[in-house]
Amino acid sequence: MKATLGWIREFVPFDLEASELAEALTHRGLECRASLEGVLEGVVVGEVLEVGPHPRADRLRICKVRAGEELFSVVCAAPNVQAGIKAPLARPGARLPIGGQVQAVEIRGVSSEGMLCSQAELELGEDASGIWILPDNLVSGNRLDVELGLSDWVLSFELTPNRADCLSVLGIAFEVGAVVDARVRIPRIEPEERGAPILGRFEVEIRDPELCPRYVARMVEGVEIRPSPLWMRRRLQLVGLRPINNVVDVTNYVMWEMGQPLHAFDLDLLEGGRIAVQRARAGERFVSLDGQTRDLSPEMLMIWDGRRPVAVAGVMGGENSEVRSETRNVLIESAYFDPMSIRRTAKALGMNTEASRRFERGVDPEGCPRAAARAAQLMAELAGGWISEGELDVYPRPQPRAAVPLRVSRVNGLLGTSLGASEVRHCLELLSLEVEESSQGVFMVKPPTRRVDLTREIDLVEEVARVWGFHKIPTTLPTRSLALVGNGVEGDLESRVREILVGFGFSEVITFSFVDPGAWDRMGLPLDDPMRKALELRNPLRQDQGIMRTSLVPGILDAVHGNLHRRNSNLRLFELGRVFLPREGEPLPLEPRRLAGAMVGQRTPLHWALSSSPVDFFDLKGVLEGLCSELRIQAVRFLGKGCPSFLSPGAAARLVSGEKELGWLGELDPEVQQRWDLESPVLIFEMDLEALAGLSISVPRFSPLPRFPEVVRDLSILVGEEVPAGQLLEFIRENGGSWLETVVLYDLFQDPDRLPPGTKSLTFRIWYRSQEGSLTDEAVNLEQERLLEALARAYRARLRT
Amino acid sequence: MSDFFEELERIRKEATASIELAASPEEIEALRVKYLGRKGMVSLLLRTIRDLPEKERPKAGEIGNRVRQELEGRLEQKSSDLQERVQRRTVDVTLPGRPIPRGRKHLITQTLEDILSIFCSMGYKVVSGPEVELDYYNFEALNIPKDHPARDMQDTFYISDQVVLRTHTSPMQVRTMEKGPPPVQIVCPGKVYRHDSDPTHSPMFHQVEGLLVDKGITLADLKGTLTAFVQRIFGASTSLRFRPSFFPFTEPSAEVDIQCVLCTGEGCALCGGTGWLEILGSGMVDPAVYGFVGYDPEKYSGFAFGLGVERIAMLRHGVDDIRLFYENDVRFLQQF
Repeated sequence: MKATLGWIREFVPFDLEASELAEALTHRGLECRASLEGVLEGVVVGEVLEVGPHPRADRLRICKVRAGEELFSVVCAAPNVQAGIKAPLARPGARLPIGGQVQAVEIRGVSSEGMLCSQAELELGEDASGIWILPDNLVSGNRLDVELGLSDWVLSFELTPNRADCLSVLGIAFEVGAVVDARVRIPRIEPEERGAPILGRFEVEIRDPELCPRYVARMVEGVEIRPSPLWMRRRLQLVGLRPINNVVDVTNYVMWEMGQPLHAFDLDLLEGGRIAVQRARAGERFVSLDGQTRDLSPEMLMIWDGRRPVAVAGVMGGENSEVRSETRNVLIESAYFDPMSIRRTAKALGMNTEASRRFERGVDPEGCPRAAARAAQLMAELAGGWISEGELDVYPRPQPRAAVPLRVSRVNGLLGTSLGASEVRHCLELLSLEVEESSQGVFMVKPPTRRVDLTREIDLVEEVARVWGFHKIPTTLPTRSLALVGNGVEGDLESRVREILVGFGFSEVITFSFVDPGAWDRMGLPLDDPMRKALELRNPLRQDQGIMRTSLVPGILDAVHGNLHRRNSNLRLFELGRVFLPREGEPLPLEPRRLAGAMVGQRTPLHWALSSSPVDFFDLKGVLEGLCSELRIQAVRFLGKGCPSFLSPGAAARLVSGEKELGWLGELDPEVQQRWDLESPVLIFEMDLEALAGLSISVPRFSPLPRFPEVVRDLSILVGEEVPAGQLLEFIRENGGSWLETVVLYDLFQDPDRLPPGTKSLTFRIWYRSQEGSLTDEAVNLEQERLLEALARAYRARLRT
Repeated sequence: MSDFFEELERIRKEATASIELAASPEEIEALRVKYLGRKGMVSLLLRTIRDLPEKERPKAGEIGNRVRQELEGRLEQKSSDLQERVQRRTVDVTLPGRPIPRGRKHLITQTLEDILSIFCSMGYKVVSGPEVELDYYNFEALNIPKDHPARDMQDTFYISDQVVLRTHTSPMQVRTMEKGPPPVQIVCPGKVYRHDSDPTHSPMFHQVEGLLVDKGITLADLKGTLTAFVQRIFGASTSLRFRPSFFPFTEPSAEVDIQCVLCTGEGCALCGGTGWLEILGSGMVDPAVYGFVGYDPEKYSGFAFGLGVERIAMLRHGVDDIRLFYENDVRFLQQF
């Protein structure tokens, strides 16, 4: 919404500068900015003294133009230029609204010091046929914008949806009045009704009073369609409206001024001498004013004449009854429509018009007759013609506005202020609300009908706060008991996981929750993979953001891809976020938290003291082992079977603890890597954070420190190549006797030339310790032999010598 | 006689102790000059031998020379010790050290943690709610009926007629109040979604919602709480202003602006010349919302606020394009 200061001043006097006013209104909740618009820099009133021929062009003339004391020689092609007239002179350096800067130039060998302008060149009208001949009383040499009052300060508002009343200059004037403590003058409207009575010549019928509680019609006959006068065109332009013709401009002007959308029909195009307000018929089509064909549905309210729809009620008129240049007689519509119905219709038709914007926020039902009268009066003034006597006012559902009680104690109780009754009253009266004290400390407040947003006590509390000024409300902290103390942020599982991974060199990414439905194909997921069962967005912004993720993998791979593409080649990334798993029979999905990540590139950065090699499965496995150990999750096992299909089968594992699946890790399958356009191999993992949360121990228990020394033994064995090392480690732990404290696999050797075929050598270091006393070599040797025998039985292991 | 020997012994002890403590070749050289130089203490003392009685001179000369030799030997030893130590320990200290790999938390996470820790210190409890939300909680119960213009304030992603991606964290107000009676004091961080994408709008971003409902909570308390928060996150000298605004679920509603962090109020491109930056929306909980959760608005009052995490991160760190947060370029991630 825009309004000019000149327009506002017609209703309320004020001395504030535009920027001061804008600031004051912003502080009242009407966010706005002031800017000076319509300035014509360098355009002055020129007086043409002489017109002579151009030596080398028949159509061009050389004019001597006086502007104040200065003389200019201007080459001009306009047919209507002649000595003695006044016309706009754009001096060299002037910037024209249509674009471009005027410069002194040579035109066919004759220099031209500026240009004489048409209305169109100044964007002040359509006429481009010749220069604009100005009224003779303008002072030569003066700025044209000043002489004609073309420029003004414009306030541009960003209104909140509750302030429908401020979608009008008058509504804004009431707020300005409250700022400067001045009364708003509403001009009397007394149209001179010279025509025959409308009653008996025309009819209005409301067939759907639910959706159209009021319809007012007026008739103006004998109009002549012309451009509106400059002042009106200019005002419309300054607030962002396009002037069309005098009749249409009047409807827009009055809408802007009073907030009541109006429509003008060509009366002679309305069939049957009547208007009927009723819904559309199913399947009907309608061509609106903008030439678009609209498919109607039976929920949409339409304005009909005796035979057919002639307007989409409250949204836009129809081509079939539009005011044209040959229009002589006009029917003005000023109605009140149900806000929600207008909104539904406008949305369904994809139309958002100045009219629908106002109707859907709520206009003043009591304002319909005034607006119709004001429009009729202006039309008669600007387009000639005569106003028919009377109006048709069908108002089947008057909506009485009840007074709203307001307790001063409530005001202070909610605002934290200590306002007296008279201060509260003053705030409300500044807004022109009717206030009566019904009992001590209680007011009955009658809001004007234009303020559709004021229906409850709390609405009035807000008005008091606004007018009193938020800056004057005290600043306190809630005084409360300490019974409720919030949980700390630190120490929760999510931040622990983040800290651990950051310590391992991983950086956190955040990717969009919506992913590409094609991601599953690129991952090569089987068609029945549960991951494919994802929620679909009904209105995605882009096709590749069409579904809600069921895994963090696509996002991680995209992040890897984006970084590799930018030549960031050594990556350690993780993300912690929710996935969305649809549930049968439930409207909302499960939203478990997941943790996923990837490693790409070299194990260590390029460095003089470090030798580097590409990361492999065991780098990532180490990270996850470290994570589980930091979270104190017990007995985590890595199983090579049953891993996701997008991992290389030879280098992938599931993480389980007891019966619980924690997640998986592995090398991305080379084919998937290629389909994702990734230059380097990717190690990737995903974990179920909810499972980790269930197993993580946050308060570890103390175990006593050893009091006796340990005995260390190495054990090198040969076993079949196929025996998993993890099983051997587990076996040793379980069968190594009660003294076995720690076992570490520290050497793995596979060499067909030096070992028996089909075998590998593993070397373990074992720490033995007793809680009861120092161990003897003999006792430990016995344990070690027993262990070797057990290994021999279970795995056919033999001591390597 | 005994004076000479006593003096010699004193110098010997002193020199021995000093040599032991010497830590550099320069110090050793200084000690050599001090004791054994031409005008050194030992040399000067030895010159007094001629003043001794005839028969004592040979013994004095012999012992004096032994002391001289001993000190020379000590100096020599110390000097070579020092040299050896320096040689043994010499590295090019300008060579880069071995790096310890360390990642970074996302700037959004860091900012969220800062925000939440401030509110936790004020006694707020952190809760979380679903990102895929019922229309009822996202709109209806927040006093935003269907076909209401207030719905235009937030462009919505739909799953179905009844299910949306939450457009704000405000649904947790209702979900929390439904669970039990006042007092309620929560903050709810999380992802939210709007059907919008350009340099200042991301279709997914983060908010923190706050809600405090109890007896006697006022708009003045809201001002105090948010002032305390803003001054802790942006600095104690940050000035802020409360402007009346509109949210369907609060009344009165207030938009909070802080003085522009770039121009400190002079007016610049960042603040659009106004000198102020909008950073959060807030207000007193609308009685209509209490109606949905069965609280008595005559007995209880409260305030709610919602702030954009990206916005705060952008202003604090000078990030000029919201899309950088979700491109996940490690050169961006590792700056913070």
